[in-house]
Amino acid sequence: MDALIVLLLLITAYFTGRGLEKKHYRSIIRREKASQRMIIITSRTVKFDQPIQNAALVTGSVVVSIDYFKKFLANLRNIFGGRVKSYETILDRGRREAVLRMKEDARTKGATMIINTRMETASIAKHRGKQGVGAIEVVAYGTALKVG
Amino acid sequence: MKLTPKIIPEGINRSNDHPLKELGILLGGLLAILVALYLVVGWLTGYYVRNMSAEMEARIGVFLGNTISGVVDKRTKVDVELQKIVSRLSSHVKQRGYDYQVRVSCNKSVNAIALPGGTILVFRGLLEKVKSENELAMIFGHEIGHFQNRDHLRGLGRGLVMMVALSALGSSGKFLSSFLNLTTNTVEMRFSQAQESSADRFGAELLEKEYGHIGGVDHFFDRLKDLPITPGGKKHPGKIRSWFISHPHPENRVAMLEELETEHGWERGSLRPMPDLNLAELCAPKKAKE
Repeated sequence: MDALIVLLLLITAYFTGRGLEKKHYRSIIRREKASQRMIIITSRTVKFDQPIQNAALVTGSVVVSIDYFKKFLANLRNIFGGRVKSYETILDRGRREAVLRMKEDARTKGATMIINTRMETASIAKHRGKQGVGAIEVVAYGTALKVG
Repeated sequence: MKLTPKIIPEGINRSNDHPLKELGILLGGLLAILVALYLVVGWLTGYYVRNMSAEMEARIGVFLGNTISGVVDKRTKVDVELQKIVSRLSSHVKQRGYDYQVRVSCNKSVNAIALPGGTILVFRGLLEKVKSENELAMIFGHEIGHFQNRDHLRGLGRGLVMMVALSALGSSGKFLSSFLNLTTNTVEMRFSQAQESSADRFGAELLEKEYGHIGGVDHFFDRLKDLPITPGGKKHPGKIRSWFISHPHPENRVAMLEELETEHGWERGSLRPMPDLNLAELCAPKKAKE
């Protein structure tokens, strides 16, 4: 009976997780194209020909959950070692979404670029010692500048 | 220098491999390793079991006996009565000199099991169902057959190793453990069904040597089809489900015994009544100390 429940969970998680992931990626790609003009760099200082009108801290954060199927795959991979490919898309989506939200924050403040951009990743909603489905949080932050 | 923002191409920070392909490779590899391990352990266990000392076997038997609930502490009149039957049967056994002992458990399961060391543990539920001494002798003979083949030790060894392996994989998901449990259990149950059939044959032969006929041998298996096996009232499963449990389906057991009967020309004679065991008194709850 336990095996059946777990199998059903895996099948459900596989299809729903994959569907949600594809939907998220479509949204990410669409918004990245739309916000392409907003420049993001990691340099702390930049020389501008025009004066800086405004500067502000901008952040973007997102929490992305790991579905049951991905966690199962990662547990299998942990036995043998190697790249945990199932988690790669989680991190990729998290980072890109966080950057997009940071850009949106900057856009609402009228900024034209973001410098000194940094990203932090943390795992949250993990149940220690038990089999819980975890999640990761990605925070992107930087200094938004309104130049010219 | 002018900064020109560009769209980053897809697929740089993630793999394009299909997750189901990865699942297939990892799961297949793991199962292959575990099956190989299981087979090797089975062979090693069999080798060790054949050479295990009687003292070690007796120690395991004491340990297991103490873990089963409902075993009455001291030898009782019931044990003595049943021991008479076992002693007569074991006098016909030539090989592997165990000192066969009978113990009764007040647990209401309809079952009897062979504990390492030569102890036959018989449950109250079974004693209440059995209608003749011949039937009971067949059951004891069946358990003696298990001792002769050391089946009880083989099962223990493989089961123990798989428990250890599965618990080590616990962090990799309950599914894997459950799935492996089902897979190895199925293989185990096929081994067990062959062992059970062999024990049935041995029991029938002992019965014939002791009583001069095999009357009563099939009554118990016939009754198994219709009556509850567990205190919870579960009936014996159908033929397909039987493949996945330890005992062959009763119809198959009866058919096998009938084949033996024809082959050896055995007869069915009159049955001896069960000795008066007074199980109700034996298993009555003890009065609280005042």
